[in-house]
Amino acid sequence: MSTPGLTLPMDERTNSKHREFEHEAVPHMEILYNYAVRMTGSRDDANDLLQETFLKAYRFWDKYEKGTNIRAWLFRIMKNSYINRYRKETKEPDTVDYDKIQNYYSSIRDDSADANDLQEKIFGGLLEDEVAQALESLPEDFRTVVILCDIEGLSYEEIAEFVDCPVGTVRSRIHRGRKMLRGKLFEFARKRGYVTND
Amino acid sequence: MDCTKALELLSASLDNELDRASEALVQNHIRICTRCRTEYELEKLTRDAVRRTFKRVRVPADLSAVIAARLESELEPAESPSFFRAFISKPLAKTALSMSVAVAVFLLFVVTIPSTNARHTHAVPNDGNIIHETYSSFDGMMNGTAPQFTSSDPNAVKEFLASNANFPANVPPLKRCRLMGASYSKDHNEPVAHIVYKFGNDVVYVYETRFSSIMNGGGLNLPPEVQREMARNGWYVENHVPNCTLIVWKGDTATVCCALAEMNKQRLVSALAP
Repeated sequence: MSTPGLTLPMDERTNSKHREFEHEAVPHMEILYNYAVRMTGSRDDANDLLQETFLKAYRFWDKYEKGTNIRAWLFRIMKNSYINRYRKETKEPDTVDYDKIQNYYSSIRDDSADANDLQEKIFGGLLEDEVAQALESLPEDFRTVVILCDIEGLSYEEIAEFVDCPVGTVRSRIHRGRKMLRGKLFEFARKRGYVTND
Repeated sequence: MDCTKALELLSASLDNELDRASEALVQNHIRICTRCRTEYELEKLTRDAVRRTFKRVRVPADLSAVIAARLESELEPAESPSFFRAFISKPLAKTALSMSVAVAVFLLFVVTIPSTNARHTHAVPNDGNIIHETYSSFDGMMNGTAPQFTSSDPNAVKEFLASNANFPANVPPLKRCRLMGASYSKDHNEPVAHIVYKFGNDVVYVYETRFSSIMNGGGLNLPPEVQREMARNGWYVENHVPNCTLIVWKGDTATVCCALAEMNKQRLVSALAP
């Protein structure tokens, strides 16, 4: 028979908390990591953000309401960490006149009567790097929903839970987010010479 | 449906997020409205470009290892060492007899004589399993007479046990408990120490025997699953009896201890804190 109990035991409550956390929170590491990579645009920053998120989640595990959406809870921790970390670094907050953007891109549409022509202009010579840059240029709220919808493949309802706002808001943010992206891609196309100003 | 409404629902339509009625309205509209159709197509192209560009990535193995390690290190908060350490590493306080005032003993203490008609009855087999022995000794104690030796001084109790039970028993100095006294006996030919504390008005009873008594095919035993649990966590806890908690751990001086009390786990753990 083997000799039991030679390792130093840990507090029983801590131990069961650890097991619970491992079982419930850890499986969602990947979705959070992907979000972190897309939000920060850097693997290193994503590493830091993911670590911070899981440590915080572990420390505040007793604040998690059992049975509620664990992914949304973890996501909100990450979002807050992200904001604390990166908002501090970029002194200028994200202030964007969304209506202006909307009008600007409406005018793009109006400029071209032929849909196929416009599609070709914007997406014809599209480079992956440009898409990445375009996504990074989006204001945080819009980037978030586009990432969650188009990269993570979440439903609008789950996104609403993640970002803590109504489904209607999610819908309009996704629409506007994609529109802004398109505007950015249009700019790139213009720089490449696919689209001329006149 | 007008253009404003259609544009509002465009994304949702594209992502299959609309109910059938709204979806039909949007589709009808974009069939007849060139502008909105263009919008729809462009949004679809944008979405597809994003989908194509960004593939989901896996968490690097070294990152998940770092996180696992950091979580592990969170497990041992420096300010609250496990109570077992008192058993394992802390030498018993060197006290003179100054504090060894005999306390009035409210509890009645008898060893290993389960009483069938008493208030405290746990029906357990007499099979040498020290968990069963603990329940039955606890019952006996709660229904019987006083401990053989009554003292609140851990050293005095320890001395008493050493000279009678013939093995170096631990008498952990539990800060939150009052030590009441102890007895010794032979269960299935193995020497056993019985130590009694009070935590508030509740009795905390500790059954202690040599580790070798359960390992070498001696008269006493401990089920393999309990031993496995102890190997994994350092201790074993059960709440099989309503309002009762039993905790088994390995003491220093090669003993095995089994604490039993009529309280929930959290309270017993707190009672056993050094």
